[in-house]
Amino acid sequence: MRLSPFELGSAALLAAAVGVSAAGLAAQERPMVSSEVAVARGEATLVLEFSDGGSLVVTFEDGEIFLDGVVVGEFEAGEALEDSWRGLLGQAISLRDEALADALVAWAPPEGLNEPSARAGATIDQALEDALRPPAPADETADAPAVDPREGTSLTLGSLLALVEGRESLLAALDGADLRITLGEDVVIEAGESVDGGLVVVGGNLNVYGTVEGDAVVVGGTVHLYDGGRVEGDLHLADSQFFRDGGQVLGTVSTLEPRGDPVPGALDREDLRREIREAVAPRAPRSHSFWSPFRNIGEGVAGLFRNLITLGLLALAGLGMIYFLPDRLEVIADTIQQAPARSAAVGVASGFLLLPAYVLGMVVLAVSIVGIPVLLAWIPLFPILALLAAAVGYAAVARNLGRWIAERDIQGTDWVQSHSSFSMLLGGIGALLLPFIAGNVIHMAGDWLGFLESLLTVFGIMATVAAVMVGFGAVVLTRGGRRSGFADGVDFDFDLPDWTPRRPWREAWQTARGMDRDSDAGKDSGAEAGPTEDTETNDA
Amino acid sequence: MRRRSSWILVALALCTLPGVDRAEGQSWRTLNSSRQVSGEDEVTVKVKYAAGRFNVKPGGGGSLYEMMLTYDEDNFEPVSEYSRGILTLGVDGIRKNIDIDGENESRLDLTLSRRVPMDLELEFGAVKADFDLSGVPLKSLSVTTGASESLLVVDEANPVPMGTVEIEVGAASFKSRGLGNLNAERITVDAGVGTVELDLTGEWKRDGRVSVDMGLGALTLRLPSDMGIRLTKDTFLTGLDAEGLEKRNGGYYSENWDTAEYQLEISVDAAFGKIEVVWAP
Repeated sequence: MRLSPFELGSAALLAAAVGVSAAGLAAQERPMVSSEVAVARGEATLVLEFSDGGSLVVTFEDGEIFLDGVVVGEFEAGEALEDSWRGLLGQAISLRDEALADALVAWAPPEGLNEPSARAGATIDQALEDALRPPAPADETADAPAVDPREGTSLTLGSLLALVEGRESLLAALDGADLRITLGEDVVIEAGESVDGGLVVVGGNLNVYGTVEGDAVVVGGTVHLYDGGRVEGDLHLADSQFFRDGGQVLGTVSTLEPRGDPVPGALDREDLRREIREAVAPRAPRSHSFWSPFRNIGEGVAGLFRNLITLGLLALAGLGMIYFLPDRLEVIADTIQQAPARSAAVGVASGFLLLPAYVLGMVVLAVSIVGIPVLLAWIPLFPILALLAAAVGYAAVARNLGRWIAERDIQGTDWVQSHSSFSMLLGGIGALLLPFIAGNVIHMAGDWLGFLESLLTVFGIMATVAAVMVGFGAVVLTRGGRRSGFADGVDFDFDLPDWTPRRPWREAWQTARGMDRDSDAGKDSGAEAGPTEDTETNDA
Repeated sequence: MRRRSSWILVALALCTLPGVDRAEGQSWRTLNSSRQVSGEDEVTVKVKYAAGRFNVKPGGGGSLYEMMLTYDEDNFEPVSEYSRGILTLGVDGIRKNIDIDGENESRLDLTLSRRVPMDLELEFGAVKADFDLSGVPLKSLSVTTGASESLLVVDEANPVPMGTVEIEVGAASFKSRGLGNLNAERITVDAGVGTVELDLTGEWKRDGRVSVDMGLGALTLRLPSDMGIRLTKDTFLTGLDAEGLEKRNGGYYSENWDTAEYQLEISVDAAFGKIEVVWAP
């Protein structure tokens, strides 16, 4: 990823912002305007905001201690330092204003800590005191101390990078490089892995077993160069530790630790972080590269898996129905077979009536005080029962479809046997899902068959809706499979009206040929239509 | 529009009902946040909360607010922001399918200043809420609930005059006490499904208007006997128990309508349910 100079500058400023220390935020007699204490199992955080717009954030989280977002140490869960910090926050919850400030300033890390914890505790302690009871402000007219950005030892990174010299130093190191920037996470360069260009790690650790071909910048983290690990450019460290565990840096190693206060208002960490993200985000569009065909294959395979999982789940649910409700499923399935049109009609009608029935039920329950508690059960249970009925109906349709497949000699469907309810159910569900599965396969071929894929998807949806409607209707007709009247072989189906379009010319033609007519209406119709061209032709 | 948003809240609340999609484990986090009053003339306070217990009460010290929040950090993230007179508090969902455990420990306790006049907006879902706004200087109040059990108490008069109180109830039980103390010019209640009890007693400092738009459920109006009452209704299948009110000219009037110092006009638009009038001593 190649970034513009602006983005490089923003990255540097971000790095600077993350490194701002509590000392930089301090001011004498600083009124606190807000406090925030957050405590969870692995976290204990204190956030203070001051009337001058400054803030202080101290976080113990998952074994690391952060000061304004920068790691300043580590801790073991349950160790004395963490216990002491949590105890302080426990007090802070109930304190306000001066009392809170006093408690925070009075806090000190407990005795007997190991050295890293003691150092981290001292850092936090100092930060609290600097923020809440800072020393008298320095004489503004005094000359600023000289800054050597590569040699300072008691300086803050934020101050350094707020200074032109330090900032340009870092920018110069980064200029023109291909950059990989990570925020708030550890980076591991594995053995054999090579990073083109530079690497910026902010608020995370860098572990190198492989090769970084450019410069590396680490802010607020720890760098380990393990045996075989190599940085071919320079290594810049800011508020970071460096362990050369057998690895090597071909360039120079520099430590960026400036002295003095940052330029007031020059650095806003969150704004810069946002700018960086905004600048980087548009550079990662969905690429149309060499990998595009593989992406289609991946998506197709994923879709295939989804549908196969759906198939498996539906089959499992169907198996449960066969096991627990075999007779009812049989009655519903037979009803669908004997009275498909009626089932469909009832299913559609019921679908339309579901919502009014739902609302009516609510009304009936709501108008009485006693019914209102029942209403709370009615509201979720009614849709659940409706969904259950639809699922049972769908399974029954699938079972019938499976039987249809079993009765035909279709290649590859020998496993669908008419004496096995489960195989019929599985075969039927597979058939209903077939359009979706075919769509997944076509998707793997690329986007150019998208139309066909969409067509199959629409067809699949229509088949599913039809199956659900017919099945739901059969469930309603049989009262959930309890009434077998519709499934006893009696044709309860509708006597559908003759919806055949009237074709006067055909009727006239049939009359002319002396064919049987069983409908006077048809004759009338033909007469009304008058002689047609066909008739005349035949007469002739 | 408002009715539609009520139903959206109902849907949201139903999605978060216990047992719908239980989490296997939840990570509870507590957040205590407070802010000092620092010269604000007035503020807008917006509180948004999804599920759990929600308590609001008046504060006594120099804090603009104090919030104690316990929430599941796997599903929610806390909101505690103050910028240019707008204070935003509560939680935001970070996932579409929120997991709410049956024994939900989520809790938001909020204390509001008695010193700074505020526009207060409360929006919550499946919540058991107790709001005590006694003595809180409210310039406006908006309460939007989903499937909740809410109690709004105003035992002390609002020191600043208020324009409109908007209460929007989804599928819920909403009870109130001392709404007259809100010092409001107008109170509107838009209720979907459930029971609503409006206690309009309190220290009215002017004439008031109350309008209730209700889908289905039971509405109880607790009325102050020292005010002149006029009740009008536009209902479909709704019974009215208007004891103590006399019907004339298309409305229901209290005996002291013409003589009372202040008058309260109540209009009810209800579809299904029951309206009951109860008189406060």
